[in-house]
Amino acid sequence: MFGIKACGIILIIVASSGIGFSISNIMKLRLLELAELKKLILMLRGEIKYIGTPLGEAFGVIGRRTKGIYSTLFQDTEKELEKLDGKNIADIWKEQMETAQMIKKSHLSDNDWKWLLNFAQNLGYLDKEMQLGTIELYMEQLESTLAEGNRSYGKNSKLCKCLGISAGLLLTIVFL
Amino acid sequence: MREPVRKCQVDVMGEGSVEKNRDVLRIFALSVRKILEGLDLDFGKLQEIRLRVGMPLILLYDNHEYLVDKKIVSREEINETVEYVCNYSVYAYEEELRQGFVTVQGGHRVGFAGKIVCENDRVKSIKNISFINVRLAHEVIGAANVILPYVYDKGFPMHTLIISPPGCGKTTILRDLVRSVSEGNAYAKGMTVGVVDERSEIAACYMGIPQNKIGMRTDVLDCCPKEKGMIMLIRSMSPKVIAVDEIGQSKDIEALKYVAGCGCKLFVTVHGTRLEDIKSKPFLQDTVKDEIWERYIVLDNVGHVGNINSIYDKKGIRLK
Repeated sequence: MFGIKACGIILIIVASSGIGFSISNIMKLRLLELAELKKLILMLRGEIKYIGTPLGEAFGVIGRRTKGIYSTLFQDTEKELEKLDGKNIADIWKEQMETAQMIKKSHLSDNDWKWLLNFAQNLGYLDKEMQLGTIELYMEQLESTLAEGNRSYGKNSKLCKCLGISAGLLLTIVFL
Repeated sequence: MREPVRKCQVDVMGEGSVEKNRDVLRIFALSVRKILEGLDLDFGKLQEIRLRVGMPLILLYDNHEYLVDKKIVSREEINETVEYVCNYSVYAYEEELRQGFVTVQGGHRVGFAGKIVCENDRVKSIKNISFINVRLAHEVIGAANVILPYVYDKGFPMHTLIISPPGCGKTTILRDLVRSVSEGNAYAKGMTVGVVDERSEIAACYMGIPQNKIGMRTDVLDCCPKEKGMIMLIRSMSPKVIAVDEIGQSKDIEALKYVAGCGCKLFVTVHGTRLEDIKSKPFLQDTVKDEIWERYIVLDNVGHVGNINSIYDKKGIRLK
């Protein structure tokens, strides 16, 4: 009887701690994905600023250089842009974001996606200055999101882990 | 006079060439593209497609102008076409738009007109684009065969100036001349040719690879200003011949003289209708006086585009 109880206690503590650690891990992965996105946007800025590469080609170059979750998004967008089939760039980008399976695997928040969608809506339009301005604006947004994320991660990560363990202990006491 | 476009016969032409020209339809707004696809055009005969806001779609086909029935071009269609021509990236074509045209894949030239934005007496940009003219490039293998005997002297090429009004085939002749000299022909074996393709019309490079046949010994500087490109080629690729299209500015002439002084031969085209036009051009007249050009080839479109009207030697004596 004691053995069964001990097993139950262990299972409860492990499971609730796991939830805490998992939430903390999701927060960490989101930050890593945001950092990767920032790197890719920097590459896009370089392609536009120094080489004047058209968007489709630039997306392709960037997509092929990353193995992360954005590879599909950028490469599929390049393919769609090449079709020239009556859609504007914002619609294409939105479609790709919605259809890409990566969204399901992604750890970005809804707000992160919304910012990324807004960013693409002004791409391709007007001159190089305008493009670089749009990219700079998005970079600032990303940097502030990352800074805020890093700050809250340090605090919330520990909190989640502690809450997970504490919840496990509390449940154990309640069930006992 | 209104001549509606009717179903046209499909002419026999190199399949690759037809396909390449058919690809040009991709740059048009979807609605315009569908109409053009429905016309069953022979792309070997199609010369120009013109779009003007609120006006009918006009084609220049086999040297005749045709209005496409009931098709009035809208502002949205023009905007969509501009977006496609620029690959959704207007910023990447700023310099070309300033000059008023963009060369698209296949070497076709898309000209724009609208409201010009100036800054300090310089064209900064073009907005409210309301007029588009698409000029189709035609690659004609063997177009330069007629002039080949005149551009060689004992197996060595000569400095050649091709004089032609717009739309009379000077780029087509130059391209084929480059191909023939590079590959080798009945008059000389193949030699290294450098092409400064400022507007991507000669080689029609896409992602750095020539889409037109320009010969196996040809090096291309794509989208490079002529005056800089000629000197870069001399220093880097040691060509025997350098080919450039549409010279006219003083800096081009300086570079030409430099190249001629390096022992490298020149194949060059210029706008004009006869030799006398060149003698009166502000910068080019010096090169005529200095007898830099060993051959002048004058083109017109009598009978067909790219007709060789006359050929002169460096003294201005007519050879043909």
